[in-house]
Amino acid sequence: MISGQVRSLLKKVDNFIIVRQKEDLVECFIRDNSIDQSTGSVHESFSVQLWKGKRRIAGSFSNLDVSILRKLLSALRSAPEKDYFYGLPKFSKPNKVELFDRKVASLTPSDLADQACQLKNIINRKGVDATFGVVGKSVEEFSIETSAGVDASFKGSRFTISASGTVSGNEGKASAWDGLESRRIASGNSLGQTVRDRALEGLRQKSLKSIPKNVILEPRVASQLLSYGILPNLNLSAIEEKKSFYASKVGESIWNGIQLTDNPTLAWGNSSYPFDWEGSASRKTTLVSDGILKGFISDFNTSKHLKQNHTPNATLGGISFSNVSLSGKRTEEEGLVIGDVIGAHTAEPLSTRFSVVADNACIIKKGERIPVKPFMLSGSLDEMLKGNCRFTGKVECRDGIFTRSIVTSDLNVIR
Amino acid sequence: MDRRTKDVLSSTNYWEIREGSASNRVIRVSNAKVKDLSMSAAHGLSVRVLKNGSWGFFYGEGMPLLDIAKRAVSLARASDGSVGSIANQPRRKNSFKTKMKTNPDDISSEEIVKSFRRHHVSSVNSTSFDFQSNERVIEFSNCEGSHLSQTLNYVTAGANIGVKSGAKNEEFDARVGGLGGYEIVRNGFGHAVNEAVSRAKELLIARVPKGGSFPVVCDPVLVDVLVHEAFGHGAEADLVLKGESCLADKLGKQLAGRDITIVDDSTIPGAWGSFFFDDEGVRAKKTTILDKGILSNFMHSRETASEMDCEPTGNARAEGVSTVPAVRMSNTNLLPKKASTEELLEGIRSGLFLGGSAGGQVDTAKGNFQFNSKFGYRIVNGELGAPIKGVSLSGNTLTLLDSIDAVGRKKSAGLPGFCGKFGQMVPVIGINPSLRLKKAMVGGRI
Repeated sequence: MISGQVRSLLKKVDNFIIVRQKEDLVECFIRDNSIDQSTGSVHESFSVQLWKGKRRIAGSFSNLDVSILRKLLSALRSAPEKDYFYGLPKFSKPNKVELFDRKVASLTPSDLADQACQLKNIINRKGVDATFGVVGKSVEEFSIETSAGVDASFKGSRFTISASGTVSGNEGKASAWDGLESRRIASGNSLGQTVRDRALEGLRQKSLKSIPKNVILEPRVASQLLSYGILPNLNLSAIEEKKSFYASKVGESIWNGIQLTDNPTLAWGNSSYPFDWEGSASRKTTLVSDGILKGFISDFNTSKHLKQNHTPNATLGGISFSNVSLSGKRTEEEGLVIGDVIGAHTAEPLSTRFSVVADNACIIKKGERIPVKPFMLSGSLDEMLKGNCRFTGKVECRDGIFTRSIVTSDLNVIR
Repeated sequence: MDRRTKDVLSSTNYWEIREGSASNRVIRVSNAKVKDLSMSAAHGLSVRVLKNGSWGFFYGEGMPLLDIAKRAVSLARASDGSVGSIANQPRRKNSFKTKMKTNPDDISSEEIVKSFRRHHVSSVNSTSFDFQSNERVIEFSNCEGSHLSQTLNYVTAGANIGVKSGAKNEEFDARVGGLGGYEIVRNGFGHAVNEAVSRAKELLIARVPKGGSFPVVCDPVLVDVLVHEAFGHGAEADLVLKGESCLADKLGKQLAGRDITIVDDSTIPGAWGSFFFDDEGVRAKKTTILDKGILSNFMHSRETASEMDCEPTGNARAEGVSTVPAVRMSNTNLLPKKASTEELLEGIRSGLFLGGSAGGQVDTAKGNFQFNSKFGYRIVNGELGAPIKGVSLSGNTLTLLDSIDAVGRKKSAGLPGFCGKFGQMVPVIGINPSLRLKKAMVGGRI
């Protein structure tokens, strides 16, 4: 990964981390009921972090040669000192995590176009137009070398499908979207059917007259809201920057009977890895156990500085989650089911407040689905998790979070 | 281009080559301490071809042009050929560069860190500042003989101010940015930080109002999101053609009052969303989309312009040369009219003034949108009252346009941000006045 000349220049620094990433991607696009475009790309990047004492410089480049390293070394000399640096984690044997599926890697553009064709045929029935969709595959390579003796690499595959369908009726249009991502080849049949059925359901929406006691957030909705409004608070960076809602609450009961874990070792997990961006071997971390806050995700230096447990969640100059799992008390209940929201990204982590439009919603009563028109949904995610929050239905992985649907009575429905 | 590459590309109906170099510098300071100092550089080539009605596209870094061209042509063969044609464009040869007074590369990291430390306020709980300068050089050529080059220099600085009182935490963001040099930060950042500090403190005493339907006055920052999300996306011709826009059958129809004119203008010097030519080599333009309330144009790429038998509007934008262009907005603006702030508030017995933005989103097919304001006040008998927070605005594009009954006279820029579509982010902004909505659905508490 590193040429001899670059390696000899690296002797001028105290510590370094070099990560090489390569992605070979092919995608076929559905537009307006046809496959009109196929695209591909090969991206290669070298991410470099250099330290001289407490001075640090980071960079990302499409190639790594002597001129780039000289430029970085020059910037390092004039870089302002950071507050602390405790070195890099020593080499530990990485976990074996299954991430690469040869079948995905061997898919040709024609195979992907065939899959896209099948998907559009499923959606494109009963008057529904497959207005947009993508079927794609990629192969990723990741290698790391550090001054602390880490020298490791892994390969992963990725298969993605997403589609939207639109249908017109007497009262206007209705549409639905869904997507999935997997390390292995997945069938788009169920996704296509969901898109088609939800779009058709949108034509039968009625005004929400009475509000059921239970609001049920489907896994996609729950994951979106939690990833924007809650998870940033459980990152040690937020503690360091004084931007966490849960600062100084380790050991306290913050939620009602809820478990939250981060697990990069999960076989075939979309966000799994054998080692993080500092070379620390991956392992599962329990963040909340039976509602009690156990800790935060971290990297080596931030954890040393704040005297917290080190978790293998380092990325380039930051800390991020891998596969998150949320669970709690199981239930089988009916209520107002929210299939989609508009504006989940506006949830505020520092207050955990959110206010969004609930879309593709329906009331489930005695097993029957009654679609309802969009309405506003607001509240505090922290209050929701503190309250009598239950879990129903199948576990799904959405936006990196594994969860069932969340059942709550602590949100505001505004008509 | 060598003969073999020419031979490969000659089998297509159309081809274009984009070569891009991007370099980036980032400085982050958190609570007066250096958090991050980084730089990046990338260089790559892409080829897009149209062959027998199908698009093929390939991007590579460090790969020979011949290999990239071959893979683009081979990908076009995998599709099923539904693209008709693309609108004609004249052959053009030109080179453009961003004008700047102070090259950000001439300002040392230490000087920027020092200036951020000066903005650190000890009376608040946390401060985070970031600076970013980005230079993108794009070379464009196509089979029609066009050769274009543009250098776009983006500079931006942002602040996040966190405040705390007991168990209450609040934060407020500020950002300045544009095409140009370090003068963009030097001239506007201090004022933006001061305003963020006072707004954050005010949020600690603000209350979440009751949700429901109210008359609403929106400040220029919120109008920026409203114009972009609630209206602009629906006027992107690719979505119109896909049947994913509620404006699809509304061309030539009166959708709003005669005071409402909305333009997309990528030619504004120094504005965050400006450029010299789009990613299909079409010259940057000003396009009137809503003319005195009448839907007069959509925004186009060469493909959508051909399909709808009109001129391309220079709105085919890509995040970089590694991605395929799509129809995107640039600087999308509601033109100012005559009302003063007092006149906008006048006559409202009970309503809300909403300001700032915490983002928004739209379902273009149905026209349903949501956007969050960052701060606000109650309006009582035509005057601003107690501060409010945690408010979002929702509704439908067509109802919203019909609900605008007054437009302010003073315009100002929104927050320089990035718009996401098909997984690509491009810089966009709006320069707008305040406006008044007769009635809007507002989310708060029950």
